Amino acid sequence: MGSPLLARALLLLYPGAFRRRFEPEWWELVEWHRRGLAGVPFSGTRLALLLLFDTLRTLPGVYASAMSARLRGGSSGGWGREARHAVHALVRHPVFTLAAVLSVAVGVGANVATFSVVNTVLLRPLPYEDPERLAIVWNEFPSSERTRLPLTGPQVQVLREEPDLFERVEAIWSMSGSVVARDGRTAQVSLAFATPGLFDLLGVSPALGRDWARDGVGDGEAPDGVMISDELWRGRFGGDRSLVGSTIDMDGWVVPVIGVLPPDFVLHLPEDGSIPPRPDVYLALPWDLSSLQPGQRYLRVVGKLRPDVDRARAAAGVAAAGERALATYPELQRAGDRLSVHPLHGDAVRAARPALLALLGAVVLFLLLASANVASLILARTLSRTREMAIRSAIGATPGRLAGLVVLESLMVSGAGALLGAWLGFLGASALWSLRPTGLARVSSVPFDARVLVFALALLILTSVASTLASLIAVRALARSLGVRGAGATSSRTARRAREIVTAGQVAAGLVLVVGSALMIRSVATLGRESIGFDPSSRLTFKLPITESRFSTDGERARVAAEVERRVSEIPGVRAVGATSHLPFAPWANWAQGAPPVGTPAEERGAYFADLRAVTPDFFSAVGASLVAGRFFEDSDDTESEPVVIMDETMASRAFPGGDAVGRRVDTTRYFGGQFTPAVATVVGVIRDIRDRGPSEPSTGQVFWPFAQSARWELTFFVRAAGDPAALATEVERAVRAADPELAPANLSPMDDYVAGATAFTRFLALVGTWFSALALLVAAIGLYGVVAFVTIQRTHELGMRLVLGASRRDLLARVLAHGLRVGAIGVGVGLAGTVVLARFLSGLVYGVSPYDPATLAGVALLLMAVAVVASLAPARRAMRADPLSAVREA
Amino acid sequence: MPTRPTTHPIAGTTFYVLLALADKPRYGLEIAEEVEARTSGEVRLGPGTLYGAIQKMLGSGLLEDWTPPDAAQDDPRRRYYRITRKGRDAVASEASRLEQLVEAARAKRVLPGT
Repeated sequence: MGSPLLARALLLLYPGAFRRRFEPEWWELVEWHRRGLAGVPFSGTRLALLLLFDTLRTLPGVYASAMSARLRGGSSGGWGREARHAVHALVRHPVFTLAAVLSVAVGVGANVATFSVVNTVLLRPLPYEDPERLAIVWNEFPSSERTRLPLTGPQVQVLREEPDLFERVEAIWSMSGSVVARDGRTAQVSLAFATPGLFDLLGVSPALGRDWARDGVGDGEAPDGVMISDELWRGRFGGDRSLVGSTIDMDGWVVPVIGVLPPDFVLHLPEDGSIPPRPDVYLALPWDLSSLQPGQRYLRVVGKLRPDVDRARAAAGVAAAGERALATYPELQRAGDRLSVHPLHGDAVRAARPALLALLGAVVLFLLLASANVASLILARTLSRTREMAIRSAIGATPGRLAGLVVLESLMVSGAGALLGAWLGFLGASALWSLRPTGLARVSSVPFDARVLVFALALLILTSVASTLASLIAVRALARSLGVRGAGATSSRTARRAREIVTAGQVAAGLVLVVGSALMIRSVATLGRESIGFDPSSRLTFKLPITESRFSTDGERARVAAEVERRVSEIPGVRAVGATSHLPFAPWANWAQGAPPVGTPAEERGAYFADLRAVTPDFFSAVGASLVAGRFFEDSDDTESEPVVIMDETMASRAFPGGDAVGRRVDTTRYFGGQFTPAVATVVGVIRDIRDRGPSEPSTGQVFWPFAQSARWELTFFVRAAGDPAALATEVERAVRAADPELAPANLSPMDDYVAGATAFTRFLALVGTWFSALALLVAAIGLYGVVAFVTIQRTHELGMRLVLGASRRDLLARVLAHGLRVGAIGVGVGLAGTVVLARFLSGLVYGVSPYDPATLAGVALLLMAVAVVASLAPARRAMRADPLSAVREA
Repeated sequence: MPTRPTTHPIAGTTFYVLLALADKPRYGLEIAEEVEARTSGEVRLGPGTLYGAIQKMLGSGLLEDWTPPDAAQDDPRRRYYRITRKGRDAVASEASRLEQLVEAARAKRVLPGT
């Protein structure tokens, strides 16, 4: 029974005097309520709720009357009057009030917005059944640069034979295809092939229709029928409920639709897993995968761990299963596959996590900076009110009451700021979300849940505590100067020291923020200059659906590709046309296979994985690739001729470190005769690396087949235009129809769009970082200006005396500037130390620049010192113009 | 005829507590029991509500502490409260205010039985 504990905790929330007076009776009343609830269902919960609401409702009143009772000793008037006073005082000083409220609001707003994104992406459990038990299994090749490859069918079967480890294991794979929509037009769609139990494993049921059923289907056969996404159903079939139970035309085959998935269903898999977040059509794989393409690594595997299996046991068990698969299946032995298991959620957000955490760190730092600003403002404002406070004190206000006044004012400021900030944050989260890069495509909205509210509340408390502390320091200094006249100098020295420390802290935090965003900006600049191996500008791309149902033989697919290529190349304004099975930077499924030199021992084959692509002969010239050795493909490299491949430099130097790749032979795979088949091919050329996965990701090795020798069903054309590539769209469509009246180009878009998509995340971080560091610089400059101006005014007497005693005005200027620079330098020093500590968190986010980059650090340090000079200049000039006589008289 | 100390209506809890104390001084639990009885079990004051109100009423002089003559025999936890003159005036003026309202309600026939 938790109520006594709860009652005790709630009682602790009341003021001490209240507790001391009423506690003995309090328990009698709690007991009375407990007796009254005896025998009622959930009596314990009811009592707890009663006590909770009772406390929440009465706490403010109890505090208010306790405070007004205490304050009544000193002066007339209640707390309410003081609150009105405080509001008036704040309204009379709009600059102070606005500066303070906005500082808190922007700081809190940025935090709430960022935290709500972090919460959605990193903290909220995946929307599946038992999400914490879901795990993803990858193939790892320690000898290769590729740490994550999909699994083979036999490996999935072996994992399924581990009932002590997994409750079940399911797999998915994706490719692209086409569907004839209701209006008769062919739509390009993304297809996913899933094992029939995948949806059951995730705990997702179709919104309409049913899942694949086991009965009547042999283990080696795939259940009939497809499930489609809500988007496809509504967008292409008008949301017609009768579609379930009827058929659709997919890649030329007629297939029954058995279900429609819920509108919010998303596959939460890692971005680099090459499975789209929302496939349009799901087809079933057979229940038993052991005999399906046994040597092909294509299956992304999700398992549900048994409840009693922890991470260590899962890792050991999966590794052991991997060993067993290796022993059982000779195909795997050739590459030395090794299995590893990871929590699904952690793996799915692996790429986004460091960036989001860095962003959260930046906004927390920014909030600290803003809070420091408020503290500094409160200090300054309180000390400027010595006269007012002295009068209040003279007419009978106790020190406690004066402290109460200052605290009340600062609480109003931070409270108003935090509330405004929370509101801004809720708005900002949607704005931040609308800017979100493709790396977070799997999350569709940022809901505000209890966790975000608690976070906002915690910030409110934090900023209130910070401003209360600052005002208490100010009050102490004030009390001393009011109490003992002679102590004035000491107290203002304390306050000055406090402000200097706060300001140095601001400069330090500002430096860290500016360094962070400077590194992001440099990364973006480097990315822009980085050679991706080809020029994406003035290139139009489009996909061509050459389905196997219409073009069933390798020869037919190669012929239609060549025909489209020829027709498009005849369009005026087209410089070159080529096509590839896998467009660089496009977020579509990858094709990775081993390509070891012939004769490589089995245990070393794992080191020779490469991204395989099938390209037309003109692809290289259309892309602008440069040849390092050998030759490009020719039209004569066709089905009849000897298999040939071209490698990029990375793959060539890995497979043939001697530099003599041309003429050597590799043991690889091609798509031939309707299936993936092993093939030995001769290397005929080596090209300079083409970046394929992203502008910041160097090639991990690519091997190109001539399309005619490996005629995959996917083909994306790459058109090099003389002018604006978008202007070619209509002509391209006409040319494709001329080649085959039933074909239409899909996904017509300039290559630049794919490049922009691939760099979006870094640019996004740089943009957000720039905003924050600009604000941080401004806030730090205002803080510096404030402290230097304040100290200079305080030293008017001293400076005047110096003038009288013969110091030059130049000396005064130097003195004031030196003060500003000293505070700035301390801040810069602390900030640099902080940057060095924090830099390692940035190492995964920056590109082409070290997080400890001395030039960046030095540049930003200089920038902040320059800010310190500028901020000190105005007060320094004022000091220089000081009239020595009046300065002396004033004192 | 008591003079009206205030024209402000007093809050529900304050009224209940003053009414409970109108006939004799009581301690906290007794007040809660009396209020419950007077309202046919409708109102069961929570500890924060009751003692928050008592603290406020002590501060504004509507109640005062009271020591029973036979204090030695009583439970030492219990503290008694007695209504003050000001408290009596406040409850009387609130009661007559309510009475006027009830009259008005009867006149407009919103109450049954008239």
